[in-house]
Amino acid sequence: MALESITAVASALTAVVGLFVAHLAYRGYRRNDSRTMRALAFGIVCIAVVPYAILYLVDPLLGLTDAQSLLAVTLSHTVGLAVIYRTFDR
Amino acid sequence: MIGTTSGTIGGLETLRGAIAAVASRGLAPGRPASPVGNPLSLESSPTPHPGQVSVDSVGGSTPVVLAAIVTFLAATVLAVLVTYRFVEGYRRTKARPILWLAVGMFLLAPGPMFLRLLAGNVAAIPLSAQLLVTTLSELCGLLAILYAVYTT
Repeated sequence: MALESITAVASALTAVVGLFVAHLAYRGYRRNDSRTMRALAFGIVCIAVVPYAILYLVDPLLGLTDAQSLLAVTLSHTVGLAVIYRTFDR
Repeated sequence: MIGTTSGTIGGLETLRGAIAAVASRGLAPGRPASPVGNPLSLESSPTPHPGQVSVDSVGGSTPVVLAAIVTFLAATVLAVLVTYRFVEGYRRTKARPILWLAVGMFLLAPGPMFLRLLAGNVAAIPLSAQLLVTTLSELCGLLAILYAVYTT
């Protein structure tokens, strides 16, 4: 019970910090026109913010099955990581 | 809040069972390599009573469970590749922010994924502890990336 409350707080904090990091990276992209920073901003949102939104907002609203919410989360992870990985090839 | 947390736990429980099923099938000699070969060993459970609200439902339809496993494995591979490229970048340039980026990326993506794979196959690790450790790892990773982005 206590563990679950701490986990809930930590995941909310993760989403907030993720948004902040993405904001900073996006600002870095706007300032220096750095594509890496733009990819990092997008990737961080996909890895840290979107999963939280899926598990704590979309899932309760739409009543997804466990497999559906898991698929959505892992898809978001994959898209974010793929976007970051693409910047290495240039 | 408690409801959503248990929903998350249910979801991860599915992954545990599914990954464990895949792992055990992968190790069994002489079995077909196709993931569709033995779908019954997956924890896919169509709701038995349609009109009834099922509180402890675990799983979903078999194709969705399979797709979730495949994307999870793809995400894990990508996470390792991304971290490796950051480490490589640090070794080439010796730039401190890239080192922080590498450490942060490891704690944010592949670290928690390995923990989930490990915990899914070791019954002694309780799910609540697994969730807490993976969340804290992600948080630390983000803080390391925050430091890297902030100092550049």
